[in-house]
Amino acid sequence: MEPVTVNFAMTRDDYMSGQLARAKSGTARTETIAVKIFGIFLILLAFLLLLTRTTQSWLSAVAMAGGIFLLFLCRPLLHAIVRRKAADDFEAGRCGMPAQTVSFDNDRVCFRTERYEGHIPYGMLARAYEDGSVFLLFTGEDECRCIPKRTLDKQNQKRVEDLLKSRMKQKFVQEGAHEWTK
Amino acid sequence: MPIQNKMSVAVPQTLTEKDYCTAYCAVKRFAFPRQRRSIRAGICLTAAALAASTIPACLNFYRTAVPSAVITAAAVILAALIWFLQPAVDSRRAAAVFRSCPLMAQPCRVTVTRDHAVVQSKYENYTEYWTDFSVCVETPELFAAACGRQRDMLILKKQDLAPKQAAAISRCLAGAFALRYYKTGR
Repeated sequence: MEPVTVNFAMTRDDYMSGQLARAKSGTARTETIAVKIFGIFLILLAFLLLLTRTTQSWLSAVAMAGGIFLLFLCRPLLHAIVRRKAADDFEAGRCGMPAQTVSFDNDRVCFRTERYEGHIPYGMLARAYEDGSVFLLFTGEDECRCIPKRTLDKQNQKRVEDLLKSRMKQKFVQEGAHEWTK
Repeated sequence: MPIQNKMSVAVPQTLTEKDYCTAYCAVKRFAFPRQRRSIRAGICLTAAALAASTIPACLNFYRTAVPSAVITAAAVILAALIWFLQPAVDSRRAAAVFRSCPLMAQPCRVTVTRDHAVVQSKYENYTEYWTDFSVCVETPELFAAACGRQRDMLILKKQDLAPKQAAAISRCLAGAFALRYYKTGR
């Protein structure tokens, strides 16, 4: 079967999406759930303090503010910080190689940039991640390559997804791509 | 002795987890000086001293020294934990990073020139210019350049080098990195 090949230059938006996806992929689901549970607990505590008509009403207000922050504001705020830092890094030229060719073959993925050429079997990738805008291929815990989905048409996106699913199995995580972005 | 313009040293090597941990700890010490355990433990001990200095005032106003004593004890315990546990935590983190990237453990050939290094293995072939790195550390066992574009760390083991080659590379890197070049364990 013909490999899926993309040739692209990283744009500011691509880089920001990639960094955001990387941050999301690094956050364990249990951490997210724990933060939400703690937020709900704080809101319940605030209501409980109000109902018991305690004299320290400021405590209730603080608990309510904390709960609302953890439930609704914490995640968007963190994402905004990541995007802002990514934009700064891109503008300062700290985004790695801007142009690259990536080829998804049956048994390996090939990367080619001005100074790098790699033919890496899927089994040697640490993990892969997909969200609504990018594919991330992790060659190690601390290093990954980002392939923006805008560079692939629908058919090729599906082929890449199928390849990663079949070759990487549980090491391939799809986040949000099917729930809210499509 | 002036640096030769056409210096080129090619070395075959295979990195081990121990090499990576040594390089990681050495680089972290110089790349992030504020994260050194002596600095962190020093901050905690300073906080402990400040808290301890409030004990007389605390006794005077509240007739108990418990709050100040608790803060002092907590800061001292934190300093001890940082001092004794940080090296182990750093090593564990380095080992996890190394194990997560099988490409790093592949036998490779590193060619060092005055301006750049070329790394060739079965799966990869890449060039890193010295200007891309933020810091370089030489230890008795290895050279480690950190924060590269392709891979976070470029490591060159001395055990695979002849003494003359090691000396030539040391001079070359010292010239290329200038004030960002550190030598430890002399």
